[in-house]
Amino acid sequence: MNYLQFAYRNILRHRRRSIVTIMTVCLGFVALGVLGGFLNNIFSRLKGQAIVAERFGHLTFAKKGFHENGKLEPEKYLWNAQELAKILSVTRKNAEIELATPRLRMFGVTSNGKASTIFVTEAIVPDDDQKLIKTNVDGRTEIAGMVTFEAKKQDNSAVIVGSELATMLKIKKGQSLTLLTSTKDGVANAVDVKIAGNYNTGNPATNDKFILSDFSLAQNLYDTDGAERVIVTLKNPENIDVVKTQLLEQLTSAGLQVEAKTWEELSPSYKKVTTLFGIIFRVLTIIISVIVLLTVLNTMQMVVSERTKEIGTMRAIGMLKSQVIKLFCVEGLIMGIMGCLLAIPILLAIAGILQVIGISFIPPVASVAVPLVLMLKVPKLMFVFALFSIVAIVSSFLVSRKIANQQIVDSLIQSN
Amino acid sequence: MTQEVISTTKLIDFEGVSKTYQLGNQKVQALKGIDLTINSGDFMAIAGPSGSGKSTLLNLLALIDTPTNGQITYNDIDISTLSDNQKTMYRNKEIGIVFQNYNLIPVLDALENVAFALQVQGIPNHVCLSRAEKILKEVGLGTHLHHRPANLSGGQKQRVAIARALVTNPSVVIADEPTAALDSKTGMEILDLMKELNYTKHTTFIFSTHDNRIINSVQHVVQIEDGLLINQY
Repeated sequence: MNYLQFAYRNILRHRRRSIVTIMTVCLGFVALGVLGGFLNNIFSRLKGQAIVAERFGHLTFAKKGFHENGKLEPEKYLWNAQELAKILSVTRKNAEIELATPRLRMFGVTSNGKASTIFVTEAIVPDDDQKLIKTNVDGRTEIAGMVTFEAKKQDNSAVIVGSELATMLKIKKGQSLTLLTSTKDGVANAVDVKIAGNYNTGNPATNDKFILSDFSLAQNLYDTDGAERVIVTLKNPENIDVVKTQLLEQLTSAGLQVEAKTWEELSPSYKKVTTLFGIIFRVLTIIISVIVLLTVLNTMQMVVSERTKEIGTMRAIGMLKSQVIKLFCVEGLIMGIMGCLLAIPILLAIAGILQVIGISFIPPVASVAVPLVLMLKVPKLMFVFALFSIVAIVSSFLVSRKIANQQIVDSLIQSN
Repeated sequence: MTQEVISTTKLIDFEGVSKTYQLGNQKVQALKGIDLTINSGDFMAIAGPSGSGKSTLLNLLALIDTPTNGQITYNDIDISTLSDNQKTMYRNKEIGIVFQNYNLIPVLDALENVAFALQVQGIPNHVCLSRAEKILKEVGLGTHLHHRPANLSGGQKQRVAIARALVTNPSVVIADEPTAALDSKTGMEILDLMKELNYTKHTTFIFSTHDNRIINSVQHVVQIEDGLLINQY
């Protein structure tokens, strides 16, 4: 028996009711698709913010214990020049590595001569940073508003400050700023730097204190020829866990005691936001799935009660209970699939309209406006597709099982 | 004019069969200890007034209901020993059912309605359709193969229902007042058709009726009243 054809004809037979059911599935799919696409976009922008704007790269290597105790005893967790050279050599040899660059981070007080405030400086190698800000994040290689030093710059006293810090200190490009910090041995040290520009880190927590400085300037200030961290970016970020393990093994074999952190581990705000929105998305998925289940259940209940006599006839002719259930499950499945298929062009149209309109918004824990676009991910849409199809089958199964188990004579006496 | 088949082998045996229904707090005894033997090739009418238990007896004969007491055997098989699936498969292969209101599936055309009884057995579709077409031609509906029930007259629908009952080559066809929803001329045509099929295919026909013209034209009549078998000849 051709269940598909038979089921399809039955769907057409209860046309209006079937359309309502298909539209409910479709709306549920669109709702989850829009919400999911919107969240994917937020997550991706926050990811770009962490990897590029906050300069975490994909992986950060440091001496073992650095992330726990590095702030209390920074000098203990510094690599000297030989160690730094070795770690850069090992990491750069790995075929998965796109970029490996040393880093230093210092804290202190900065002043414009009239007012002072605290700062955090991330010391970068300008040529490497040129590559880092072009890192591919979910298909985007340009992060909005990203600024770095010019490549091959001669003046290592130039710095780039967080835009909120620049506003607070009322400083502009070309003006000077004093950075007061301490060397690795705790001796106070200061330097005058020139403002080469400002940029929004994307994170309000760092945008009012962040300064990008030249790595060689920071080494002088800190009185070291080494570095505290090495940041790497990967050619294939999806292999991050494999590469992390691989590099840790290679570095350990080279006699270095290191620890590695992914950008996600170093960006607590990303984790908080994705966890929170992930919970909201899951709750909404459950609610919408229940709505779809109840709608299909209601439709099938009406269909079954109208076709009780027909079911009795089919059973009397020789259709097994399991075949009756299968027929109704196929009907439910077809409606589920039709609803999902109808939703796909609608979703694409919404995504296209949002792209054209160009609305932007500031996501939570961010300070940079990002375009409101839907980032539709095929695996997630496939998941919703499969979920709704299963929900439609389950609803149909629950209803048809009852009627299939009814006594044939009882089904046959139903008057339509 | 069709001839009648001489009944020989025992096909169905009822021994002390009773059926009691629960209607609210009341128990209604629809059949009271029926003993009945039906031979293969029989052309039999079950007669009796409304509420006498005709339909209950037919439901039990069609294996779509179970007796409260007593034993039903088909070809020496005790039906009570069969599981629900086995009973369904037995019904599909050995019993054809014709309903008073035809009970055709509205989304299927005449050919598909008839083929349906074979398709549930898992027989390849082209075989089902070819056998269905053959039997529809035999009942005189060769030109209405692709008409859906809504586009067929009452007599044509009943012919489709008879074709559906016969397509699996069952041992017995059970029909619940097959002519009740038809005018008298069409009713007699359907009866003649059933007689002819009984003769040509040697299929046993059992049907309920309270139409005296039909009762007078059959080979074997069983009369029931108040759930009791009061006469058979």
